[in-house]
Amino acid sequence: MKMVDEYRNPEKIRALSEAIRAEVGDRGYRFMEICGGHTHSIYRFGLNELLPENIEMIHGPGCPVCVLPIGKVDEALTLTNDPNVILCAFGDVMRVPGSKISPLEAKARGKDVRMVYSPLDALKLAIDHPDKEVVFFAIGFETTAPSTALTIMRASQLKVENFAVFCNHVTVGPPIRSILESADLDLDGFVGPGHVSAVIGTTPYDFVAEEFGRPLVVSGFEPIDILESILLLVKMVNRGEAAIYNQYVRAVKREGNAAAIAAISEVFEARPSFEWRGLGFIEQSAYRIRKAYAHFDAEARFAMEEISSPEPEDAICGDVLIGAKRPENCPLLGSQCTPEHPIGALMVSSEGACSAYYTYVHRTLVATKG
Amino acid sequence: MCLGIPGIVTKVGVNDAEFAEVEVSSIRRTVHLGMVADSSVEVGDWLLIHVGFAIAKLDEDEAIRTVDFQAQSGKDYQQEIDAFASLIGGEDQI
Ligand code: SF4
Repeated sequence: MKMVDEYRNPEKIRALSEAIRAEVGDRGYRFMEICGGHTHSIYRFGLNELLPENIEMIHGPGCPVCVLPIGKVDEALTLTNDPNVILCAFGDVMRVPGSKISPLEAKARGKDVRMVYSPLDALKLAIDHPDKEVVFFAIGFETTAPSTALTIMRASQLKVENFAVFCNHVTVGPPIRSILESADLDLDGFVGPGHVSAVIGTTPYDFVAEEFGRPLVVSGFEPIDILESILLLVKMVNRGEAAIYNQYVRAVKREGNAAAIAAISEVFEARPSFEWRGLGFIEQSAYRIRKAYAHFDAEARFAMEEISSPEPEDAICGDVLIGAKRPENCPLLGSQCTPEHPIGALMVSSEGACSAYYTYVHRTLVATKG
Repeated sequence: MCLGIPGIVTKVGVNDAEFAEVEVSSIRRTVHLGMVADSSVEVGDWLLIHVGFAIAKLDEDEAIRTVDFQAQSGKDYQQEIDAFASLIGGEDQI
């Protein structure tokens, strides 16, 4: 298992952390890791501890269930008031609290809500239950959007009449722009997402360097990947250079995945505006289903109405999501909000900053305090 | 849920050319090949699987490394495998 060791080799990790220490100057460095998968790796391997004190890693909004506004869960659940509807969702989505209940709780109360692994499973359910209306509650960034698009194309090809999608797919570029424009965070650079970039490539990030003069390094998920990316960022900042760099060449090509991009543009178009948790409404930041596939659009088919639901009291999910606050600043963490009983979505998915912090830091702190 | 899990191709052309059967942690399941359509997929190839779709081809070293990396994360990987194993409507896929 030589290759396995190579990316987690303690000596290599130490050497990289020393190289970072040798490289940092007398200034502060604020880098945002956009993707929740990176946040998870940073906590899991304690990478924060390996970095010099003047590098601060700030968690970004790249966790798909975390950015979903509460109102969207409420909207999806209103569909289940019709006993003829089967609502399908991914496992993580099942546990996201709406303003009153989560999809899982709705299921416990007798609503027909089912967990699926793939949008294709929802389509299969529709084929198996021609007397029912099956709605897939779709969420996710560009990693997941092509799967929903290809499922809709398949449904269209097979002429499945009783299948629809409640589309909440979002794109990664616009929230980065919105964070850069808000200026509050004053970031020096970004660790760019891995699997999203396998789909979209690295060109959609060019604006980060060209318009905002900040470097971005698309990174793999192993400790060495992340440390290498941080070292590259530090070097670029020191040289006053802003470029988009791909550290994760083993999975990401500059031009991305052409077939996946084609599926997205066949089925989806940009929504004029979409609400993000913590970030508010962002223009052109999400997809909706094109007119040509309107038959599969749950919003049109079921005349769904937008619901805007407030954040739970005392919760700071929105601020944590954009890196303005840290999980440990939330008064609910560990007391009212735990992975078993999440109050906010950031505690649901393992990619959520609160769940990662709770699992790898909070529990250890509590245990050592006794 | 953004975890991509590597699987090895055990059968191609399941139902129609758009699908293949892959094995992940001894569990077999049909996956959609629409996103890797530009490269040929053969038995023994490694694919990165996300929500029932192959999103990329992987070389063997990268695949083995990723499996090992994810398996060490315990709970999350197990959840993903459990979901992967949950077949709706039996073996037969669309
Ligand atoms: S601990 Fe819970 S309530 Fe607080 S910010 Fe995190 S997810 Fe939200």
